[in-house]
Amino acid sequence: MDVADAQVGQLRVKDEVGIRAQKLFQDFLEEFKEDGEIKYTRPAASLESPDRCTLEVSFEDVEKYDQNLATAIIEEYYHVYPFLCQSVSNYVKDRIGLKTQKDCYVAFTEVPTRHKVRDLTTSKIGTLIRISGQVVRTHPVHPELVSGVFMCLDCQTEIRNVEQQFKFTNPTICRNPVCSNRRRFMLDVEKSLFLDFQKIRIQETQAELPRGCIPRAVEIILRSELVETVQAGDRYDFTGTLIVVPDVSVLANIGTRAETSSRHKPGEGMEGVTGLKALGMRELNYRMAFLACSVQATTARFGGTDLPMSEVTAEDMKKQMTDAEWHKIYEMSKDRNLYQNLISSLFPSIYGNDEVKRGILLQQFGGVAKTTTEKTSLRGDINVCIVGDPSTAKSQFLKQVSDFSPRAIYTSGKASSAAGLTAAVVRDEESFDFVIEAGALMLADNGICCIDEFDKMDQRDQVAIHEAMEQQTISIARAGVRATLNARTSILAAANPINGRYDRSKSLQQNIQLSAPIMSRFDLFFILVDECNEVVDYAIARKIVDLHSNIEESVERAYTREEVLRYVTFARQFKPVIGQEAGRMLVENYGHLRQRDTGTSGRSTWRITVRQLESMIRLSEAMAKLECSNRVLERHVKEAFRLLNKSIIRVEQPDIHLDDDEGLDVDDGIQHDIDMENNGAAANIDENMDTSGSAAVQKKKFTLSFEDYKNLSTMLVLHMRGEEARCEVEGSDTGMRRSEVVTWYLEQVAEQIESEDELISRKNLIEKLIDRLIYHDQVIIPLKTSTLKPSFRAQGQDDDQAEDPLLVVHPNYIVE
Amino acid sequence: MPCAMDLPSTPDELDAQHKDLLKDPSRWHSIPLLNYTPLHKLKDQTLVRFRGMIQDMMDPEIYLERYEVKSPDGGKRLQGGKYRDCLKLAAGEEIDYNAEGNVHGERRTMFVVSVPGLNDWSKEHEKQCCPQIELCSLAESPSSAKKRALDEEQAMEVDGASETAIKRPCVKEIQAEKKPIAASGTSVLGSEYLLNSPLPGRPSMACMVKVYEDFDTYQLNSLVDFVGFLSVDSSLDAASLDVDDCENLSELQAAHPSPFLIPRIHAFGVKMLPHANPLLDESLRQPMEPCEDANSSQLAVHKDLRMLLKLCLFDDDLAAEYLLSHLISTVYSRSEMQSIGKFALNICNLPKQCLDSYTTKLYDILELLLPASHYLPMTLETMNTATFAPKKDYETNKLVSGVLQLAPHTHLVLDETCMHQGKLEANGVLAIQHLAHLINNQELKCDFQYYQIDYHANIPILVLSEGRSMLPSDFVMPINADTKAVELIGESLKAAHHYLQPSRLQQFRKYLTTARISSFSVSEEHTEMIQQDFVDMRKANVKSNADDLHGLLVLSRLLGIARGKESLDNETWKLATEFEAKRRQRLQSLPKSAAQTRN
Repeated sequence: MDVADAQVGQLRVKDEVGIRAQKLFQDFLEEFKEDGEIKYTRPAASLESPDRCTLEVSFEDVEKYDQNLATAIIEEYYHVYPFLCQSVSNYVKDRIGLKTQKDCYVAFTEVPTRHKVRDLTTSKIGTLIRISGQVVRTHPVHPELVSGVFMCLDCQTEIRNVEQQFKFTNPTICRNPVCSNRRRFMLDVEKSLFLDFQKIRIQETQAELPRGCIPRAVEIILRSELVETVQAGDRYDFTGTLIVVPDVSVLANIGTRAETSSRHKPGEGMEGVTGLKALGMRELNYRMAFLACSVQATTARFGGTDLPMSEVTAEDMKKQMTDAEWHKIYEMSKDRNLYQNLISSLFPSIYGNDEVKRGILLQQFGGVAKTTTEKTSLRGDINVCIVGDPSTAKSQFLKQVSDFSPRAIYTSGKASSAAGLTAAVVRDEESFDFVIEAGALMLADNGICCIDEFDKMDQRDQVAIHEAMEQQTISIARAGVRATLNARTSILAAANPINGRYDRSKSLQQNIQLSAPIMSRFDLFFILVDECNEVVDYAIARKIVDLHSNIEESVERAYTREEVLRYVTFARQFKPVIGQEAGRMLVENYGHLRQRDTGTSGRSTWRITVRQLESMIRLSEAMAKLECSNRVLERHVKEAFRLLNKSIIRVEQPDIHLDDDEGLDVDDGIQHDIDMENNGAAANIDENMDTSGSAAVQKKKFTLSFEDYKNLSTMLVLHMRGEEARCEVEGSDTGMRRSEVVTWYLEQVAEQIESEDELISRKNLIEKLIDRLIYHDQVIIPLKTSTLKPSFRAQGQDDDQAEDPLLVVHPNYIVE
Repeated sequence: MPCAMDLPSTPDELDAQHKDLLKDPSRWHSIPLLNYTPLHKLKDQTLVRFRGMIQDMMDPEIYLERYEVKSPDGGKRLQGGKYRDCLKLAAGEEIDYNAEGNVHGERRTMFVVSVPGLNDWSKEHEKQCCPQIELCSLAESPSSAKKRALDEEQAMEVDGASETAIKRPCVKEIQAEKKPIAASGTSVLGSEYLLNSPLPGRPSMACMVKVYEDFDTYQLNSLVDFVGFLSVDSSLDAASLDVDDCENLSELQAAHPSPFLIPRIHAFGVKMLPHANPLLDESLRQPMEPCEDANSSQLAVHKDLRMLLKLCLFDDDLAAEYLLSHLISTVYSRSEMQSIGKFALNICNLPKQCLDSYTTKLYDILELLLPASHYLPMTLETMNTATFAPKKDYETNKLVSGVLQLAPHTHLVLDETCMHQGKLEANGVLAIQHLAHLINNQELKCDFQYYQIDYHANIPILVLSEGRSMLPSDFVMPINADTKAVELIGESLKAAHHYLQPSRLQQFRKYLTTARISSFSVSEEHTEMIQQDFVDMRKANVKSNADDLHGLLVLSRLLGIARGKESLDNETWKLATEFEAKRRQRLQSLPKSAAQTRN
């Protein structure tokens, strides 16, 4: 025996910790049972195949079996590793009755704590840890000499089993007792044992990086079966131990801290293996490297997942959380005011716009993806689009979401080329292979893709997005590569109106440059209009001045960002089922929407289709998830409907053109060339109005913003309700005559009226308003004597009775 | 170097109290600046200083903080490994890597480059502040007794440590090796790549600084003054290594460039620099200034400077005010989304007849006033070819610098008048995007291939253009050129140069930096006023928005500071609103292009 080997042998005999660990571990392998079966028998048997040599052991099992053993493995990993491998080898040998000795290795998985790249310090050297990071560079696979067989050049004696740990090591002395050769050896490549060896580098992910620092990287060594299991760009968890390697040398010949017996004299017998030459004692620098024994794709901790979310259950999530975290989530789920608190914690710095915030919040939760019996998959992702004037915090929403969400990508439709948003086929410069390069949509798979300036996007991209939004895949067929890639992405888009400002007189479609198919794929559309409002202006000014004076924002956040994020990730796992009640309500509400849609057929900008029903379902599901409920309840549907309504209503009702309505609903007798264009509307006015004045002036007066319209109608309705109540008490006619309402209104605004012209126009305005309320919104019901001819609408105007009917408010109308 | 006697001359002599010694500015001053001292004049292991910007941070290094040395006679001793790259060993001695007493420590390497875009006058001044080392070579006969003493001390030390056979490269060797470095064929990376200057046209010095504590306080692109031990052992060069492994060669050489190209410093004293102006830097020994006229108030200087700028800007007073505000602007606060205080200025409508040379001449004046600045002609060629944002090169594990990687307060002057019609290629489009991002957010996007990371920047950007710039800007200032002034602009600029006498220049330079770093407050009562004004403004013009208010606040702040005020008053606010109104009026009269948006 070689002296060195003997020494090592002796050392081992003395190494009690190691021997004990070996024994305990072997016992564990032989005894540990799961479901009444010895768990590791089968995996061990599979190691019979010549290309397998690693036994994967769940660390949790070890912990369950023997806490002391587990602790010893964690703390002394590097030390006991060879012994553990030895016990695996023995175990495997016993199991499958191998005739020759086969070296087997152990790989631990599910090591409890996970570290960031930045946490790796010298104190962690040699212990068993798990780290996660993004692979940035992979090196080619090399053979590594693990056990060398040498030939003494003096006496031709063969020296076997010269252990090689990371570096080329000659035998210290020839084992032939009469030969005193210490230097002249030759490696017998044929008989020596080589293992695959690959070096990769991982880097901190963006989320873990402290501000102003360069991402830290660490080298990882993969061996035998692990080589070529990772790809650059992906995120993985690595289990193993930190070792220290001299900086200047290359890994093929480094000495680790534990194995730094660098007493070999370099320079000879270097066939096949590179050697460390002339470095000698010079270097003091070391670098940390990580010797990995198992690799897993990063799992679903707080959304940073590469696994489909559907495979993770709430139970798994709970396991990964600390008690405190779990308690907080529990607490949050019991919060009565959760909905509001969540949005205020998510967007503390954005003033107002609560509906948009709600929409975005629900988008975070998402609906439930389903597969029909015909294997058609229905998406669960909620797509939201914000359209609005410049400087209405659109981009701010997008930025905050991309900041906050773990798998969100922010991109600008203007800036990204076709490849930027979808995926590109790229020819690799070195290998000339075609490679698919991920675009923003693919990167945001299982996340949110925030696209600013959505309307400025390239036509080709729009088509791709189109597919991604409904089918949740991207197809590319370029340069001979045909692929369908997953892009399960929610899209949060922001678009600017065509002329920079939202023109209320036009429909949504006329306001943004998006094709109808794309528009219909958004579940929610929000329109932010920059309105002049003193209160808001004050608040904004205050905020800006505070910002400039460096005053810390005193925002009351109910929860921290991390808490919200954790909660969202947790609640996302729920898969609420639609209850019967809720189902009925969905149908009902859809009916409402649909009806209203047909009611305004001629000028509707928004077709209510099954897509909206699906949206409503998704939103209800998201609402249920938000409450961690397994069933979609009525209240969830209610909120979903309200939100959907809000988003559609705002779209459907830009400025109220009273004349337009008149043309449509009131003056059916007069044949109008009903034109959706603006000039058409103006023409209507000219024809309708007897009062003199240019069309432009008229138009201004008969166009009300939605708010004004709402306010006015509310005022009228409230007054009429009051009158109705009074009349009921007095027992007289219920309701008011139309003329009374008009008079009352004119009295109300009497102070503001200065000229006769104005009075007339006001009168016209209120008349038209009432008409609209009657025929369009059906808020006010004109009571007519039942004897009227069936087609009262056409001829009613002639009738005195119909001219001044009794008006009552629709009993079901709710004032907002 | 009388004071340096107290400071340790080698790492071995260093102990805790030396850190306190560094607190004394005069001691700090006495350490030679590596920036201005030729390397061959410095010995290995001596104390030096290096001022620069942190360009890159490397992965941690583990080193032997203390290690056991076994001598052939069986004796053992402990040796400290801190602040050095090479182990100290005597002939025949061996390191016991497995000794119990060995302690491993961690240190970080910062890749520091001398401040990019530092203007000549600042360099000149820093050089003056740097203690001169006359020591040339041991072989040369020293000319003064003092130096002799020094040399002897050095020699004695070598003698005293004669048993330590560490290869201490003496000056001669360094000189000898300096030449073949460039020719040494083993290096696969060019020195330009290794030096990694942000501005390729104005190469900066580079230095690898190893720090031993407070790792997380260092921020990319910040200015730092390091004191530490020089380490220039030739064996540190990976190119001199005989490594057969080609796979890692470039990475290895990037991490271990020739120490004569990029010296190492083991830092034990650090000062963060708030600005790059050497005139106001306490860490520099300021030469006595006899012509210091302390009585000239801020206000007077402000007036003079405004006059000067007006002279250079075709007699346009308003433009001069804006340019002055731009020159003292800084990002002083950041919220989640915004950088408050940025003042990206676009001076447009420059008279056509003097376009060809005016911009460079204007920059010549600015260069005299600013400690650090850079002039970037926006030609298609530069846009298409130059590297703008830093990009991580995973082959070498280096952050390859770009033009935009500049230290805080380095003014970037973009000359759009050189732009011609043509094709902007991928790189050019990217460059414009990076510039726009920098202007809008004062953040620099670094490309890490798999993701991009934003780093805070504080680079005031001035765009000179004929029409409106294609880049965004906070303030567009159309010049209202006086016809007479246009004819006389050549003479005016000459006169400006004459006017800028050294003493006046110093005044202006100090004024600009002082103004930039001074603070400004807004009282509660003025806050109310501003709010009311904003509401009124919105009433008057629906199109006015929050950005306008931001602009007004920044402008009023800068106008106030320029006039030596510490808080906002009515007068300044009025002035700001008035200026903005005037500027808007000018904008209105600009010929509008189709795609024009309101500013």
